[in-house]
Amino acid sequence: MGAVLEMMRALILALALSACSAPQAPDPRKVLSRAQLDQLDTPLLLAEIDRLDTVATLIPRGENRGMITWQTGGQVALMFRDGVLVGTRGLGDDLMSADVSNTRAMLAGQAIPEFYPRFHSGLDGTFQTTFRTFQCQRIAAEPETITIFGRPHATTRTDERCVSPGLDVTNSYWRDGSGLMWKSRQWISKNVGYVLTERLVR
Amino acid sequence: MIRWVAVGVLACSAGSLWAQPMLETGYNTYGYPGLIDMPAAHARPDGELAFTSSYFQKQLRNTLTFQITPRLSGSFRYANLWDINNADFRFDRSFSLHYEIATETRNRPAIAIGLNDFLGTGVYRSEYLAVSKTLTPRFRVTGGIGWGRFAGIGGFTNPLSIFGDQFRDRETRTGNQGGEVEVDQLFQGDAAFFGGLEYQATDKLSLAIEYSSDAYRLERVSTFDYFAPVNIGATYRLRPGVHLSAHYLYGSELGVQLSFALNPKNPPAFGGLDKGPPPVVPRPAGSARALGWTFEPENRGRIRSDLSVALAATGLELHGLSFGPGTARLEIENDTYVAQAQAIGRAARAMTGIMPASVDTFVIVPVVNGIAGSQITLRREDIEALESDLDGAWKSLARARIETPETPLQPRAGLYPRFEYDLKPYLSPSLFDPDQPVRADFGAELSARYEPAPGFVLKGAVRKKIVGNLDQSTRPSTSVLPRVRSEFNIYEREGDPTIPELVATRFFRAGPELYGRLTLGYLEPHFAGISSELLWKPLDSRLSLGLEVNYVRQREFKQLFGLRSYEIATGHGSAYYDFGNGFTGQLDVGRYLAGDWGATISLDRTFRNGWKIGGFATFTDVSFDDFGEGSFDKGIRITVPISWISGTPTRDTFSTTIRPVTRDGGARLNVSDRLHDLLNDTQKPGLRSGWGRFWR
Repeated sequence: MGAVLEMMRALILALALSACSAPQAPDPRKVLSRAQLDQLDTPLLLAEIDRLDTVATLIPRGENRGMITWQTGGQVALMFRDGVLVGTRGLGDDLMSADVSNTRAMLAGQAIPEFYPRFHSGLDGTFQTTFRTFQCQRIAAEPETITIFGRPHATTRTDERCVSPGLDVTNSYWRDGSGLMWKSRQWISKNVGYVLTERLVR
Repeated sequence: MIRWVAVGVLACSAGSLWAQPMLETGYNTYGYPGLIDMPAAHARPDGELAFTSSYFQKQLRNTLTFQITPRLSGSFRYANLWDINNADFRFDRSFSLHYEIATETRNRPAIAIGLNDFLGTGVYRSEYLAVSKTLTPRFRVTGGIGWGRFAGIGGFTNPLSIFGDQFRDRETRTGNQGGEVEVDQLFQGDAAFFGGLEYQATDKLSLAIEYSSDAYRLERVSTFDYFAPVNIGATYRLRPGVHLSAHYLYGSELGVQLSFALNPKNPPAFGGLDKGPPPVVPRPAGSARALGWTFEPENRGRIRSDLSVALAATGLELHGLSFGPGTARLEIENDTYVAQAQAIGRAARAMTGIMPASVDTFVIVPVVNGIAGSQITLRREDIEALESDLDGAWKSLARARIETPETPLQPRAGLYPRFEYDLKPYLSPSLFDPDQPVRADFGAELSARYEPAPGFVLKGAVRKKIVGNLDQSTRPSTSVLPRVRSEFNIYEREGDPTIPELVATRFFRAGPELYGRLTLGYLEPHFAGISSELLWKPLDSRLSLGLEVNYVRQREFKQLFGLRSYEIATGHGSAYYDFGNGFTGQLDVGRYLAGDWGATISLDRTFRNGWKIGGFATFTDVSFDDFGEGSFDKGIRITVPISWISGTPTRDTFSTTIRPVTRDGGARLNVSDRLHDLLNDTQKPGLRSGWGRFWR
């Protein structure tokens, strides 16, 4: 029985991951069901990038000093710290790294100035590192119950507005009382735009 | 008031003191920055490469223009002229230079100076000084003074004649073979004014009107009816970099123009779609220091095979792995990533997941053809700490030690001998041939490579043409020199299938900073023989020096195994210099294939993503008359990394050389795997320039 269950889990995971290798692959939202997700004991994340017209599921592939690297079956990677995006790989105009310590402090309710900086690094077309500094401000924080695959989650939605020359972006975070990021919409780069994430399996 | 502040902030953030113009001066009918037929002053964006094709009444101009530096652009043009000067038809090839002396500021216009057709046979010979000022973001005015062809309408006595009477008259060209710069004519003779207006009507549509000082003296006789010196034009942006223009020219003719521009600095896939790298696996806290043991030899085999699999998954090959106290030394071969630094970063990350905790130092040696130009020492704790660091690329470079490898390579057991083969399509273009601007062959190439031991390579290829028209060049060689290149078209005609290359090569290190190559066999499509090379290339030097000595014999036109009777000893002393600003220069001095002695000077702009655009010229003791058309060998060469086009990582490139005409003087052997290019990116400057990709 245990072995069968294990196999089923593996199958569902394979199905979930196969959905992400190509943009034409089936939308995981249509393939997966709540019942299937409940079978999984591996953390699973759903990520959607409108601009690239792609939806995929990701599993954790590495953890280093608080940064968790999630990957799709097609080896696109998203990196997070406490659910806040700090890097991407495989998207083209990737976020190479980010210093989001102030954002994390803001989400954790620590005392920080109303306006705080956030730093991103990227890579230009000639392989040189580029840096961008944002001035950010929390613009909303209110309770919101969200539903992911039929399951409701009581969260606090926090919106953060970040401005940099020629750019004005808003990141949104839906976290529960323990600080787990159930849902987020975070800005990656000018040419990739935003990624929307949903935590499917804790 | 608030609006004014906002405008001020915007202007400052754009780095200028006045509102940024919406208008961008594009390419004129000659393919250099200008209005319609006339020049304008503003340069194009640095690095831009553009192809412009324009046509009106019996004249077609195809121009390739490269913005060599932010201010200087160079153009190579190929014109089809029907019924010109009462001749039936002629092809005309010409070069142009456009230099922006002063960029536009709030109070000052942009000013440019330019030379047209200063090398060719002279149809388009002209010089100009153009001044352009942006009056509103949508409106720009240009005025200028022209000489030569541009002094045809409303000409007046050359104002430069105040500097001397020699400016007063312009002598006609002495009718040379083309190629000679006749400096004594530049800016001489009568001068005339020209000018025009540009207006950006919408985001995509711009309009222009100009007063042209070009009288079309050679063309107005038999090519078209010339009525008035006024041209109007409309240009529509089809998509970024692609512009379509319609012109009404000289009161009588309609013209069309299409231009394509791209910038090597802006790849379509930005930083590339490379798959996610292996994540760093940190050691559990305290584990490394607690245990001083070295791991058991039997574990080493498992470590080696695990790492080999992990490297293969990220596109790298494990060449060798050895251990010292606290150190693992990994030799890798990178056949995937343009930037060696990216291969090194990925190898280091793969090592973190596999190496025992007692290994705290990684030494990574990039191996190319069995030789290593450097070794990179990384501290494991830096790899662990900097994976998510904001400035991780720079910090990891600052903490890396890049040195000349001291230990010889230790290839893993079973790696040699090795054999690989490949079947892939090939495209072999011939551009701007005197008779036909574009010819190409497309076919299949089967290649194989056998390496019995490190540094010992046997390789060869067979090509079978599927479709193409390279064999349609029938122009007979009129060369008075040994026909070492001018009969290339006979090779194209008679060879199918061909063996373009079949060689045995030995690569070796001859000293700490000295590398060697010995190649024997069918070296290139036209020559077989022996080629030897020594290269002095210090790890961190802008200068490297090489010596190449070859003894070769001409191959049969069929390009199989047969040889012809012509043989020659040829070779060069070469100096390579990296100017550090993206430009690299090369000087080769020696004896060429036709037995002529001389020197080749080359200058390339190298973009860090692998694009290379450059030019070369060769002067030998062959007289300009004996050389024939063009007077001396010269050309433009372009290398495009396939990864730039596809966005997926590959080291494949597409290279082409454009020569106005292929003759026999100043011809060099085309042996493959010359050492400088082979080693360049594994040494310090190469590693540094690609280090932004370390964490990619």
